[in-house]
Amino acid sequence: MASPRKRGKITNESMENWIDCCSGKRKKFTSERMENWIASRSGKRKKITSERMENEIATPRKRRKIASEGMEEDRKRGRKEKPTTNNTTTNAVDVIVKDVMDHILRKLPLKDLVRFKCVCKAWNSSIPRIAKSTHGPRKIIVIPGESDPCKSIKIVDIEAAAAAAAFSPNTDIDSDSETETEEMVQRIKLPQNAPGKVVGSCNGLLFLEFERKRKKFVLWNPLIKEFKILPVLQPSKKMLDFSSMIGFGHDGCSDDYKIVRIFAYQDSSLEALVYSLKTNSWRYLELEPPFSNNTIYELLKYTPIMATLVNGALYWSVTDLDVSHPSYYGYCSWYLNYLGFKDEPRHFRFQILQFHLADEKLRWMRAPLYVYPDSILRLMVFEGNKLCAYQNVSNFLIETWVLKGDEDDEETEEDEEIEVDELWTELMSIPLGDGRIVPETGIAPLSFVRDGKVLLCKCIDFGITSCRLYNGVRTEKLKKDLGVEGWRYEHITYEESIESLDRYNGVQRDKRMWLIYRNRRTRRRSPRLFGSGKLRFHVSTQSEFVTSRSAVQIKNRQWHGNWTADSISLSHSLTITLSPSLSVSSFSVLHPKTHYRRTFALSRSVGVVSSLSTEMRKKRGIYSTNENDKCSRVGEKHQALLPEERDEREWLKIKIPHFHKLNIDEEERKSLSEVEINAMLLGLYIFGQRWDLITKFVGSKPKGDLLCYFYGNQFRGTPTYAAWAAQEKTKKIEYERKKNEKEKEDKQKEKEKEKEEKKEVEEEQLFESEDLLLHLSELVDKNLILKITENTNLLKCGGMSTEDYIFFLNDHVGIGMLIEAFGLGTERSVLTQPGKSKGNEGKSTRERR
Amino acid sequence: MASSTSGSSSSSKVVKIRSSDNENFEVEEAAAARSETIKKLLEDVGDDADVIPLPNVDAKTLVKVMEWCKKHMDDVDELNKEEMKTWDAEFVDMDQSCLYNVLLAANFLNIKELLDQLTQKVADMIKGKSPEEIRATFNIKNDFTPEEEAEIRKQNAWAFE
Repeated sequence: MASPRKRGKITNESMENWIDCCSGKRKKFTSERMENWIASRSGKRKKITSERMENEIATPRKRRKIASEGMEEDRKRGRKEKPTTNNTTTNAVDVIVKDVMDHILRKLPLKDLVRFKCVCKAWNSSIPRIAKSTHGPRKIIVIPGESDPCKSIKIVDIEAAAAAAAFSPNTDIDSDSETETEEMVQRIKLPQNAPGKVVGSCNGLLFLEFERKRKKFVLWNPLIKEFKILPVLQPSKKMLDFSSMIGFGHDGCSDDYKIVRIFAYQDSSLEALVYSLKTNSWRYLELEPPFSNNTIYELLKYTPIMATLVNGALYWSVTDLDVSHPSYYGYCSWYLNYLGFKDEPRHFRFQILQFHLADEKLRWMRAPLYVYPDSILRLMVFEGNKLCAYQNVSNFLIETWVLKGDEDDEETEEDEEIEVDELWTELMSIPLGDGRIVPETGIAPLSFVRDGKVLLCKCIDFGITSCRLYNGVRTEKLKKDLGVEGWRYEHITYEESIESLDRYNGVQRDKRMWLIYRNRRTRRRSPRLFGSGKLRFHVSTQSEFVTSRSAVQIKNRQWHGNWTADSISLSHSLTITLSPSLSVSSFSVLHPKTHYRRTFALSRSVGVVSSLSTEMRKKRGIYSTNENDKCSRVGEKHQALLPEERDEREWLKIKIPHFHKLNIDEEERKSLSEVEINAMLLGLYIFGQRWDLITKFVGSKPKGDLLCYFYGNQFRGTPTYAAWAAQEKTKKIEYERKKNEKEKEDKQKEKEKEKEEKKEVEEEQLFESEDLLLHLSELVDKNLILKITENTNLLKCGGMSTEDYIFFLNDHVGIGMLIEAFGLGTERSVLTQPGKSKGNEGKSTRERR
Repeated sequence: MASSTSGSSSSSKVVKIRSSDNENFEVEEAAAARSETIKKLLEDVGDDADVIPLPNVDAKTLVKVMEWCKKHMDDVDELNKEEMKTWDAEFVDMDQSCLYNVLLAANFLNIKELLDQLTQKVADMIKGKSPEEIRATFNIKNDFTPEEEAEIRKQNAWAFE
């Protein structure tokens, strides 16, 4: 290779450029840049002059340059101010290039990483990406054994624990190692206060099964402390035959988490229930039985329910007694053998079932060829992405096999003729008995660790008593406990992640509601969260309702658990079912994200219950969480309608219409136009608070909106309202007085009739006024006036009801003109005005007399 | 190709490097080649190049880096692993300004292993600290409004427990 002639002339300057270029591009050597670089190396190496370099690096990355300049400066400063290290340090760190910082951040535990999001904006934007690409160390989880109700789990950083236990006691710093143990072994309480089991783990999410009265499934990310109670879909009766196979995993194709429960029936049909986190719902799935014979039922009957998840597929090792084998004594004896009661020779048959989460098909594959027929074959994960089958051979050794790559699996499914040898490779066989030839019982592998080592543990009655490490040649005792001793031998691999359960159902999260209710009797709202006063509902996006009774039932003793909102459907309206013994006057729904909150008063009819003022709310324990909640809320969107007659024994169903629109178009719908406001006001004057008529009169808005406006502070503060209220008051006084008079005059007169009569009198008072006709005549043409006059006369002599008259006017004149004619709020108003109210009162009294 | 020839006679070959403050060093080529940057450079310009200027690294830092390179020149066998571990642990145990300088130099010279060790060291240092402490340590300006920060804290409340 020819040496460059000008190599002696590497100037400082060119060097700098070159290095700039190299270091800047190191990580992201684009192919283009690379080509240039290679070209410069091979063909034109002789001419690596400074000019050439500069040309080549015409566009050095700016950031890098700035950074290096900064560094230089810094270093200079650093040397000058050497004693003040603190100062120089921070300055130096200022320019730590982003790559290096990322490098450092990547090495942090996830919890620290996420906490540092609020350090600065740049970190906030880069950290999610880093957090996604880094996963926490592989850990295993064990279930406690010593306390019988398994309400907590232990997460063991198995690599670190194994390393510490194997090498440590150099007794360097004792205190240090202790804190390390804390980091390595965490004990975490399960999110539900009930004994539970971990039955699946994927991407930092754990799939838990709680068994109390009935099964409850929960997804849980213990790191970010988020959990989700899954909706319950009860399997059909047929399915309850035996415990199903169950598995949880991530389907990379649809980027969804799925849970599969597989049921087999005596008629050898198969069915599966598949839950998808995206849709938050279960669905039935018919499965093709993978075996042609009808032994599947027997086969699956005693399968361990938990699946092993490898590369998006779930695996179960299916073990059965070989019926054709002479040592078959019927399933009873086999079962006893299985439990270890008898020492009969056993011959098992092995199959491995595979369920691909992406295509949702159940397949089977052959077990490793040289499996011993007399002990059970189990599965575990090897190196995170390989399926490993192992078998304890007569307590002398543990044989392990590894399933070859994924592609092989696929082929096998299509072509079952493939040699089993090609499917599985022998991994290792681990001799037991600590070097002696004596067999040792109860040894089971716990986990594979680095450098081909295997952690083994000795179990007695499913409890781990001691652990040891197999290093590829022999087993060594550990110098220190792993932290799993005394716990149950039920483990699963777990990897920390910040995977959020809400990632898929942002919509769902929005619709997750809290119900806050008050009891009419006690007038007390329990301040406790979840399960007591505040109820949280998970509502699916589909129209089907999903909520579990247990999530809603109240555990607060004051309520004796008799308040149950059993079902909520959110498609278009909210339906709540209340237990018969409950008397609730109002409840509210809280939007967890926006803190938008809506209080519903439960009343006999919409519009009757007066709204509560803010002070009253506070008094009664309803606190508003945002500004929007200031105005009172009455109306069909705020009040639920209780049926007139309520059977005390029946569950009460309350339907709230337009529920889904609650906070979407609230504002625009609520606001009334000026015409509408005036129309409503006019309606109020004419009809009083007969809202049905007013709604008909206004025409363009539902009753709820009008009520909303009417009871809202916006309207209450206006002089128009004051005027109307004053008039109402007068009317009332007048009515009372007249009633008294009438009572005096004729005590037998029916009250109803009296009321009607009174109303008519008042309304007539409005229209007999000739002012109205006068005003109208100015606005409309003469033909119409004639017609109106006709009707007015009709009204006067009782041939037409007031309401008909008003609607006739409304139809013919139009609401706008009608409002003008009545002259609401103007000097010429036909109607009562604050200033005139006295005069009017006098006038009306006089007229009546 | 250049590297392969140099590799065969690694023990004798010496590379001259010059720090930013114009101090010259002579390093065994095998040691210097731990740095990808220098290695590429040597391949590029040939094996008997003149002094290699390293404009981004000062003498003090360069001494440190080369110390590490010498130690890691040869592949470590199983027996020395433990010993090397303790040596490395002592090596990265330096004061902060020094640490950052070496870190930057390692990044610039592209010595992957050293970079790994140093970043791990820094990560261990900042592990478990509060965001305020991090800002102080790295002299990062908080460019959030209080509301924004509160919002982020609220969203990730679990990490602040």
